[in-house]
Amino acid sequence: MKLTFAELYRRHRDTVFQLSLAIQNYDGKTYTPPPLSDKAIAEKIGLTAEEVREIRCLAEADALPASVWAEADVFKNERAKKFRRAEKI
Amino acid sequence: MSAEERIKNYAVECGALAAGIASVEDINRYAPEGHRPDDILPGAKSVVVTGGPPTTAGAWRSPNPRITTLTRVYPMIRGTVVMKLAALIEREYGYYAVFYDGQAESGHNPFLSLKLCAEMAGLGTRALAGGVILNRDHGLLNFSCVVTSMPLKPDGPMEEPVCPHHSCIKIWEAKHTTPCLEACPTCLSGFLEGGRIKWMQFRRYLCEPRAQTTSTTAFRQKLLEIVNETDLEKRKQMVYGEFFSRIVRSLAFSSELVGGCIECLRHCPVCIKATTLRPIPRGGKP
Ligand code: SF4
Ligand code: SF4
Repeated sequence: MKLTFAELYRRHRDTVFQLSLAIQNYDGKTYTPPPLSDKAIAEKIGLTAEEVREIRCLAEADALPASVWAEADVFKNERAKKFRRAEKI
Repeated sequence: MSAEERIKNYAVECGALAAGIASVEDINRYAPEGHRPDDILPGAKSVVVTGGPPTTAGAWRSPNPRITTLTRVYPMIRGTVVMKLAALIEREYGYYAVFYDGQAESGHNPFLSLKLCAEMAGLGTRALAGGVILNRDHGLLNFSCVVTSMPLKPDGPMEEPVCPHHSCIKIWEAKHTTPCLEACPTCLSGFLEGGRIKWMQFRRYLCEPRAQTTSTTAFRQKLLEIVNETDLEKRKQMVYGEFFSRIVRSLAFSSELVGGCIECLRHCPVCIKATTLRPIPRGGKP
């Protein structure tokens, strides 16, 4: 039986996200494990590349709560102030 | 002058700070199928990569981080620089050329990794700060490139890494941290050993809200929140409020879409050196 997209998303979201570029590990010479393209993820988990692309794009937008965007300014303003103090501008 | 020198000099004449050449063969050793130069241009042999400053040295010092994003320097012109380079390669040398300045293929995936191309073109090496490419002279650079069927002598990757800087190695030995790791533990982890990066993790998805605060993902998330809001007064306030207005303005004028955070690199000694100016004395009476 063919799964609906919502079911596919629930089932594969975390795996697709982990295998994509969302979290990148570098060993000093190369990225290991290498982040995978949609096609490579699809081959690994038995979906089509189009299904993986749709899951990944949705997961990227769905990764964090909506509040993080406005909160980002607080972090940047704090850091910028610290730099100003350090440089005595 | 060789064709390689002419092409790289022209990139600098057009507004780049630095240019380098990577071979498609080198890039293909790392780039996955579907994201290689020959996926953009069949028969591609070389990639000419250009780099320029993300912002001015002055904006780097602004106490308002939004100024740093609003006054992006090279990202404003990098497309034009490589458009002109592609024209030079096609008209003067008769080889096919496609220019690329980092547009997304889908979601956050690029057609081609500009960082990888820049690394293979010898424009810098990976940094502990999220794997960005640091250039020894110019610090953080923004990139654009031309993929071409023209066989060009590649510059190849640099042999000695730019990161970690020797002062970061000292800090690491004393405190087991570096300026970049200290600045952003949310997105960055890493370890130095023997004066080199032993491992590094960059949690890109956590960086996005800071680096792209008023970009397309923010718009879509806020939009969903707004359409799901059943209280009409609250919904009105969400639409007309300052933050959503800023997001809409950013999309309308392409003004604060990307490159909105440099905090991990503000105290990076490589970047500080590259962005520290010394006034040049002017002649005549003071
Ligand atoms: S750009 Fe900003 S959010 Fe991203 S890693 Fe650097 S400091 Fe962290
Ligand atoms: S502060 Fe700069 S040079 Fe030092 S470890 Fe971080 S990225 Fe590398």
